[in-house]
Amino acid sequence: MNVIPIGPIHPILKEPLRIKLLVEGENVKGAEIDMGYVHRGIERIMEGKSYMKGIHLSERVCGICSYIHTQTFAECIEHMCNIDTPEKAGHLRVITTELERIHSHLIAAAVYNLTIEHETIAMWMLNAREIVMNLLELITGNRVNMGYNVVGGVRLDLKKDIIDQVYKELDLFEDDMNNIIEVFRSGPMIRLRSKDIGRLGYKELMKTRAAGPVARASGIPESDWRLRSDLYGQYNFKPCWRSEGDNFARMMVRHEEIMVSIDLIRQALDMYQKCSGPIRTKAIIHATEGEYRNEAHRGEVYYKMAITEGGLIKRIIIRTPTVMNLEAYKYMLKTCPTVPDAVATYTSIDPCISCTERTIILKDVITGKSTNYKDF
Amino acid sequence: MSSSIWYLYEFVRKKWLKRFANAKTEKEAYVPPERYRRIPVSIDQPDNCISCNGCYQSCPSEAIEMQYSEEYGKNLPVFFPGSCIACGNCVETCPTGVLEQGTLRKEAKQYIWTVPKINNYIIDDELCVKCDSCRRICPVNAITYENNVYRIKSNDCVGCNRCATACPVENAIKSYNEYELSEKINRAQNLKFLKKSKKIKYETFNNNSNTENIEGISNKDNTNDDTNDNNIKNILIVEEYAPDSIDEIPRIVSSLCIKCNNCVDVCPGKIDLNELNVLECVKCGLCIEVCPTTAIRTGKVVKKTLNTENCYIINEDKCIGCRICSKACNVENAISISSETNMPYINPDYCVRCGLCHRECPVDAIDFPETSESEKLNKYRSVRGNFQLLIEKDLENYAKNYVIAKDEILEKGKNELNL
Ligand code: SF4
Repeated sequence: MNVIPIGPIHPILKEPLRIKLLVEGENVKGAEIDMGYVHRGIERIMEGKSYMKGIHLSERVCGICSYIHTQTFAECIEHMCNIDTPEKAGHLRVITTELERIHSHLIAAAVYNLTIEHETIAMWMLNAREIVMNLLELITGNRVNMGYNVVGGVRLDLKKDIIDQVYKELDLFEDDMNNIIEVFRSGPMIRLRSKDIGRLGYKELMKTRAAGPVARASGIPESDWRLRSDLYGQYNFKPCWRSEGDNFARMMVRHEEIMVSIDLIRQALDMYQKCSGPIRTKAIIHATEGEYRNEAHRGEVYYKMAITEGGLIKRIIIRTPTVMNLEAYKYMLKTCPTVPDAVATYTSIDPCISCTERTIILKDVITGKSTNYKDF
Repeated sequence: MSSSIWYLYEFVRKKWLKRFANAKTEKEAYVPPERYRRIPVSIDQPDNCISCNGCYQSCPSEAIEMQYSEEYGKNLPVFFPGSCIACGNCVETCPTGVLEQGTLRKEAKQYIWTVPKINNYIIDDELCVKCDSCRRICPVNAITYENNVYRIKSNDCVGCNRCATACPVENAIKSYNEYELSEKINRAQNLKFLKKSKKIKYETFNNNSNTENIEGISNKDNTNDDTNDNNIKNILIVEEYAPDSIDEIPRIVSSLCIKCNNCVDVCPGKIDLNELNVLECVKCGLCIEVCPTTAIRTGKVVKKTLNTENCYIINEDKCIGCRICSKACNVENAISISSETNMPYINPDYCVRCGLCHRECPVDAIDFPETSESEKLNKYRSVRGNFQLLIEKDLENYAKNYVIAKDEILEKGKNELNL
């Protein structure tokens, strides 16, 4: 059996990671995944810092789904210390999260289309994403790492003209998106490259505990944590799902979620306009520990933390969905006839490597001393 | 053919050519929206800045440094655009509102929020002399005085260090920074792993020295059998720690405890953090090592002054003997009343130089000379007072003896006269 090494640095990879594909001729028989090239020790850095600094650090766990991390962080503390956020803040959070979900899904879809050599759709998608990014910038004041969330609410309020603009641009975006999705759905070349490739069945899925769109494409709609959130309970919301479990299904679930997100933003904007009051409350924090989960764009994101009196972080654990999704990649490989298909399947799970790699303690083998992050 | 003529015609049209000549980007394309948080932060009116370091301490990416400005004659924040992440923490922290980023300050001004900082300050109740110096100097009114205790509201404090410099007593305002805290957490975590991996062992001893092992093997002599407990727990820890490394059960100071749980993590016995009690103790001293705020301690604390050069002294020419100072003073033995003049005098050994008496005195009779002078006067006054006491005691004795003698004589006379 031959081995094709891909990475750690390779044109198809957005982030450093090493995949060793075991091939027989052109057929992929297995894979070995090596991580650990972009570890930054975020959890360790957060220890001892004030939660107001931690929230900005947690935003930097992931470069694409940055906002959902701050929201989970904030909601985790609010949950632990029983802080009631104002109604307005809840709607604003949903608007921002869903906008971010759209842009994250669009990147994932664009990268997938690039790997199946359909650059046109990829470019269309990245172009459509620009509208969403502008809206995000308009609402939060920053483009990617927004610094919008604080414990107890959000930082900036919406104004009438901004709301109008969001409605207007959303209409444009929806038209655009409908077109693109139609092309993706009916394109014969895309169908050939995606259908029945990288299949993940229900049983294999349960073994790997994959989350997010990967799970929903294999027929588990209840894997959506938005169903269990109080925030989303106020809206008319149904998760999207498919049962095939192949690359095509995974991409289509993402596309459908984009449409659902647009709908959710409209609902949230409508409800936002009906309520009044502040957007932020003062957070009074006492020493406790607790945990919280949210549906990030790639699946479940989990925060568990312990804080001291006055809000200094004692310990924090962040778990992102890519760990489980990468595990599922192993099973998808069985239905990948060629090496390019294996690569396409890899991008179809939308892996985020820098999300996945965090705490590490370096130990000197000889002295047994562990190295402090400050010594570097 | 006809189409190329059409093209030619079209290209030489004035309107079309004009578009080329005046080609430029539309304004919306390069002017960022108003609420976009620009990098770096701008300082509006540097005159108003009080150099409190709040912005510097609130910055999560260390993009701010306080540098002395010749023009304004004080420290002003300097922003490094390369490190700034446009989070807006400094803008919301600034107590005087001189910083602005986009429209953030204008829009978020009405909301109160928690100030993040590097250095956190807490007041040690056991050392506090309640002189009010810290509360008066605090620029953001973060110190409260309720029920006879001073507290620093950690939500409002900007970490300017002014209270700690104003406080006359050594270590009465304790500061701990995020690096220290993280180090202690790390240490506690390592010890916790040792405990969980059974490298820290428990043994049980009976009163009559029959060793009964619960976990692990013991080969250490039982030394503390003066307690009446039937079972005394003892521990053995990898080399550095032995039981009885401290001589008494430590106590927890409630005003210092931030409930970080470090002590509970490492304690082989039991600590109740809700009641702030050490329930079971083997005197290993681990908790003292991992406590970031020295809230767990043994022994007595001494109130030591930071200012040893000067000391308050009472000017007896001006004093009217109202003794308001001695009532106001919160330090034991610092003010005593002279028995000769009935006026209070100050003992420089105990006085912490907080100036409360100086402020309270109605006739301004308390001076602030050098310590040597105060010491001289104090010595003189206490000697004088003692001498006076001696005389009074002697006189009393004489009087007592005199009365007794007088009674005896009287009795004798009565007996002789057979009355
Ligand atoms: S004697 Fe006066 S100056 Fe000295 S500690 Fe007491 S109150 Fe403060």
